[in-house]
Amino acid sequence: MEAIIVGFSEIFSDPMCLVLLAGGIFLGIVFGCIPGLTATLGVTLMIPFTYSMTPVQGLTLLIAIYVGGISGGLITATLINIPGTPSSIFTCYDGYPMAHNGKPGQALSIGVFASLIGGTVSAMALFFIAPPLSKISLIFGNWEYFSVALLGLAVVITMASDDLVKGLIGALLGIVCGSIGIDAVSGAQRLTFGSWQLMSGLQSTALMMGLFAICEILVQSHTLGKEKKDIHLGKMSFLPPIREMKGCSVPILLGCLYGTGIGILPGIGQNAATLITYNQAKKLSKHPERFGHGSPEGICASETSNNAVNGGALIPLVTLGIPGDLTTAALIGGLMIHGLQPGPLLFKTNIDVVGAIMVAYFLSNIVMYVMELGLIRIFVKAVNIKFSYLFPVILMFCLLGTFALNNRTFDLWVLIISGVAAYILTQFKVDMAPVILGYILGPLVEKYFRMAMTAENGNFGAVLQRPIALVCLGVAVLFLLAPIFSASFRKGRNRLNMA
Amino acid sequence: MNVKGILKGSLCVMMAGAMLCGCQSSGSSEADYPSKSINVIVPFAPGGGSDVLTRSMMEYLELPNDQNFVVINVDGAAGYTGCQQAFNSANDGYTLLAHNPMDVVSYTLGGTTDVELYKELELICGIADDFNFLVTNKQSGWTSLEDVIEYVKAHPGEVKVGNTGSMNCNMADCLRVLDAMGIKDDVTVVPYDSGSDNKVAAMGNHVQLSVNTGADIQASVESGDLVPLLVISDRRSKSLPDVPCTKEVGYDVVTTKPRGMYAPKGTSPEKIQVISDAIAQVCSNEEFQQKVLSLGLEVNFVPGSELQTKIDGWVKDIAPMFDEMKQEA
Repeated sequence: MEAIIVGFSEIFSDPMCLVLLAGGIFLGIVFGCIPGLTATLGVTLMIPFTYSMTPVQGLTLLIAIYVGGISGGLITATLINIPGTPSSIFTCYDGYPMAHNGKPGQALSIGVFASLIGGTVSAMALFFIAPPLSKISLIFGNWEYFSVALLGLAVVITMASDDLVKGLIGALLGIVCGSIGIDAVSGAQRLTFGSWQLMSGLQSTALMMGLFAICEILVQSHTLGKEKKDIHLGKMSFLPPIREMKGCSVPILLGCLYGTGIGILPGIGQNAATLITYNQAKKLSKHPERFGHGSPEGICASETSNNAVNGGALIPLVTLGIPGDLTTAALIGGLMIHGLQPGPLLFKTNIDVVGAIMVAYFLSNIVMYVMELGLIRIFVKAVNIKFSYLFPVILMFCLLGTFALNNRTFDLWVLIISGVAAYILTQFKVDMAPVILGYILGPLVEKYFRMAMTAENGNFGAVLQRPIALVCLGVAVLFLLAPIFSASFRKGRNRLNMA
Repeated sequence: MNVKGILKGSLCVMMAGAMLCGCQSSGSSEADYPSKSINVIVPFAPGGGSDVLTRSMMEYLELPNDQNFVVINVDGAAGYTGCQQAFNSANDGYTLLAHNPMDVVSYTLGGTTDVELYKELELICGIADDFNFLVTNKQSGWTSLEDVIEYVKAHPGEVKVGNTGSMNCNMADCLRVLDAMGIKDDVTVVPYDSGSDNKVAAMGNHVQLSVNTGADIQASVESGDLVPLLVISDRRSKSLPDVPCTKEVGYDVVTTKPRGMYAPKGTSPEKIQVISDAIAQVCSNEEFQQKVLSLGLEVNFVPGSELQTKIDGWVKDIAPMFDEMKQEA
């Protein structure tokens, strides 16, 4: 509690902080909404500049970019079906169809509103229950991570339910892509074909932007020559259209819960959070058939969870000095360069910095909401530029952003080849969502399973002593078996009816 | 129409001229090295320990002609990707590599590459020392090596030991220390991806012992969550001076983890000297030394040739352990 008060006074006493907060959010939204320039890139590019600021100023700026960037991704996802940042991949599935059906204003304001809710709820968790919540990241060992990742994989069966075979083909391709590189447990090289460039595996941003941005540009280029309908924003108000949002409370709740929870766990990551929430929301929805065709519930699930992850990831950072995801790992560098040791003692030794992190995060969400609603009009105008001009620019940013993230030309090839491969696959009606799923969750399942087995000398029975893992595994089995049982149940009843 | 053509033509000539001028001015001689900023590949993500060390150094660095380093982060494969990229770079003195020599050794001994990178890159100098510590968590209640050995001997197979990575020098040192303690066959070693994961596992009591670097454990030691038992070195560390070192307890494992600066093979000795001198000067700055200490490292400038000799010696000590690890894998 004391930290929050100190944090507010720290930030409001320094006008520079407020300027950096607003500037950071703006920069974040711009980075977030331009495909190829991701939130992570925004943070990593700005880190060197923060080294010359005070710790509070530097961290405020980085957190603002982080929040703006993750949320900004929904704009291009909704308007042109290209995710601005990998965590908004699932927003494409519902945001774009909704915008396409003449409701771009509503789709965007639902997305931005969901971002606000997700961010604010996780900020509250950060404010009031960070210390007890951070214990979760210590309780989770290899077995728990393994079972949670497996649960994620099982839930996603729903994703492939339209066409099971093609869904599984996609998921397997994803798993293969994810297994390239040096194996972390044994040090063996897998699918590298002797190339040192492949040792580190396929860079995840390059692959995901390839699968979704490059592929979508190729798909949409079919209609380049045709007359394009301008997008008209329609009415926009400060609050989202409540009437449209019937049934959205469940996905929002799920998003807050899963987002914050997965954020706290250092070993899972932002993209997995949206993936799991989206599919879980689909499963629990009264109208699962609308998912993928412009369901406001889908937008809510995806956008609440990706923003809730931010706050969740900050919890172990401020309490234990453990980064919750890649971007918070970069924040730790921002602390260390000022001689601050991120760790359990930070609360005692530098309460001003801890408080500032929390408050900056909270304020960022609110400023993000207001600013993004204001900016949407401008973005809609930008999107109405002819695609034959717009696409080359996006393509250039994709290449630029991918290179800037890790300074390797090889990643550009990953981007291009995965884009072309994805285009070919989509022509055979293979959906890219299962590919991403396999790519993200497959390696997690494998890594944690093997580490757990190494730790127990190959004794799988050890899992019996881990209640959390057991529950997750049980639920996973239920999800896997449910379709079989419900199908045979239905068949049985049909037979009864016939008789 | 004609006027336009002339204009176009003259514009082309002017631009070509400008480009030629550019070529001339960037053509540099040995004497005024560096005449532009020097790219330093940091083979890890921004914000990591190596990144922060290099960037802190840049604050104090004074190179001729007012030039400085520019950090190029190339993350991947535990630092191997950036290392290989530096190895493939031009040896004109404008690409350097900030890396840990013992990691570079690991790539070759661990079988990631056949090239003996630790010999094929020019080691400019060592900048700072990091140490591997053997730590336990507060849950175990152990406070000394004796406690550990006694418990493990009484409960063989029960205790788990966390390590950072597998098939690398950390793992080799971890196994050698456990061997020296006489408990190698009574514990299970679990390789974690990063120092941070390794630390979390120890704090959550998923492993009871852990071999991890000073930079990673420092904050948790101060808060009492982790208890350091031993530092792998021939001397005690400045940041945790109460912890005994392997040499004083009689274990023959003294590999520290220096942080070094490399150049691609064939970079001229004069250029290497320029960089080495500039870094030596930074290392003598007390403010820099304090800053590095707060990162959990200690400044220890060692000229390239001296450090290379030391490392070649360590490679001989450590290589048999890699053969053993490969057999088990």
